[in-house]
Formats: sequence, structure tokens, C-alpha cells
Amino acid sequence: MAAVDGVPKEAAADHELARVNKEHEGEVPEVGERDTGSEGACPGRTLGGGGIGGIGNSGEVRVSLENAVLERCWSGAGAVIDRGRWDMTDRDDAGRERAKKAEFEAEALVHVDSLYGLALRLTGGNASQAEDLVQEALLKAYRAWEDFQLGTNCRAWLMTILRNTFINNFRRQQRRPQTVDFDDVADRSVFAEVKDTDPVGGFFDRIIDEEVITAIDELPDEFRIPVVLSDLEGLSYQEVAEIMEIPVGTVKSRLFRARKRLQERLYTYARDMGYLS
Amino acid sequence: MSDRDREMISCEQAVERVYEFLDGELDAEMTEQVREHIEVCKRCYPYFNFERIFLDHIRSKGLRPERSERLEARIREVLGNL
Repeated sequence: MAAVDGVPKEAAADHELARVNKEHEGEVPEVGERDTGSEGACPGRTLGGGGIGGIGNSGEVRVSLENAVLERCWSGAGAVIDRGRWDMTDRDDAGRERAKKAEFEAEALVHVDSLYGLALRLTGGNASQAEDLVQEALLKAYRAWEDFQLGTNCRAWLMTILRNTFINNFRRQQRRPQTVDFDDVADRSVFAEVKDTDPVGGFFDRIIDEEVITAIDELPDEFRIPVVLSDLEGLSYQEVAEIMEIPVGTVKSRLFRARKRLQERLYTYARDMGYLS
Repeated sequence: MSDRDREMISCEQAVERVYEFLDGELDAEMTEQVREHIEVCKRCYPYFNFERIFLDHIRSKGLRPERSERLEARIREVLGNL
């Protein structure tokens, strides 16, 4: 127990309060500036598999979108190219628009399910908000489609647009940010409860996905968003800090408290279900 | 200061960095210090291991594609009207 008692209490609380009450000025650029170039749910991290010993700093591939404009595919007169990049010269406006739409549908709309999955977690499971968010993000992507370079990671590009769209909307709507206190859980440790009976957390494996998702969804916005960005999308603390316009220390403390809360909740669920001996 | 001269960090110092360590957010020097500590500490190793398993769990189950026919139809319609 001594080890876990050493966990620090919230140090940045005052700072955080001052910060979130500040009017937000700038907006996150929604299209084109950040792109993690990632495929999986947790791309940036090397966690897992290799155990504690195999953990390194998150690697990130940035896709240069400036180059996309310069290197854009250019088809011959009337020729239909495999990738369907619409012809910039020969068609009339309507024809170009049709070709652009066809290409967008083929390249971007296949990612609707991934986008909707992320939108649901960002909105805390609110289906109608999540649908609006996906639609808004896809329309932005469509308008910026000329800037997207075929062959680069479309999914990552779209996820970035969606994430930034969400954050900008969130800031706009948030006149009075909630300040939620998690002190009730910050000092408790699930590990202390299970270290003698289930020290490797075997009970986690028995918890159904829906319970994990509900636990994430029910976190207050200020805590859920860092968890979604960091744990589900694999962004670094610095990236989360920039997106949310909060100090890195605040990201750290919110993640800490949110994870403890999730852990506590999943533990309670597992205990109630009889998964713990 | 060489590795041999360096004093090992305490349990408290290691534990307060558990998530930064697992998230790959510590610099190389501190990562090494935490790693050295948990490799030999009977109390901290299982704790770090437990937290790692927990995070893996959240990450593997938390984000998944979700299907919505209604949404896809709606987007196709909006695009069609552009």
C-alpha cells in the first residue's frame, strides 16, 4: 500500500480553474495541420506486447499536406485513371464536381464507421451529436478535398478533421466549463484491493466492451476528452494540451484522475458481477 | 554522473510517474531511472504491471468503428445536394 499512497494529489487544480475560465480565443485549424498518419486505435504508443521493458516514446508520422497540392495527380484529356482523380482541365464544372464526388465517396466515405466511432466517444455516446459531427467533418473534408493527397492516410486525415471540429465546437459551446472534483477517487487504488488475489488484473478480461465504453462515455467532458485523445487516439500529452488549449500539467492530472475513475468503476463492476474471488 | 554513482529513485518517485512512464512521456534519463527501479522493486513492479494491463484494456476496447446506416444515407444525401 505504501507504494500507491505516493500518488500525487492534483497539483494543477488552481491553474486549471484559472485556465478553463479564460475565454478561448484561437481555434484549432480543422483541416490539414495535424495528421498522425495512423491506422490503429492507438497508433502513437508502443505500449503492450513487449511488456514494461519495451516502452518507448511515441513515434508519429506527419503527412505533409503542402506537398499534396504540388504533387496532385493530373490525368490526361478525358482519360479515366484508376484512382479516379478528377480531371482539372477538360470537364465542365458539373462533370468535375461529379468526378470529385465519386472519388470522395470511394476514398473517404469508407471511413464513416471509424469516424462515427470516434465521434461517439468524443460526444460521450450522444448519437445525434455524433452524427452531426461526422457530417460536419465530412463536409469540411469534401471542401478541402483538393488538399488531400491520394495514397496518404485518408482515415487519419479525416479523424484529425473530426477531432478538431469537435474541439472547436466544444469550446464555442462551453461558456461555463464544469469543474468536476474527482478527489473522492484520487487517493484510492484498485491495485491495493486486488494485489493479493488478482495482481495482473485478470478481471479486466471478463469485462465486456460495452461496460468500458459506457464508463468512458460517462466521464465529464473535461476528463473524457483527454482520455479519448490520449488513450484511444494515442496522442501525446503535448498534442492533447495544444488541441484543448490547456497546460501539459493539466492534461497529466486530468488523465490521472480520469483513469483512476475508470479503473475504480470497472473494478466495482467486476466485483458486482462476481468476477473477483 | 555515471549509472553506478546515481542513486536509485524512491518508490514514491517511481509511482508518481507511472502513467508518464507507461505513456512514453518521460525523457530518456527518467525513463531509465524508473525502469531501473521497477526492475528490482518487488512492490512497484506488480503495480506498474497492473496499470499497464489496465491501460491496454481501455485502449483495446474503448475505440471501435460504429455502424450507422442512417448516418451514411444522410451524408450521401447531403453530398448529392451539393
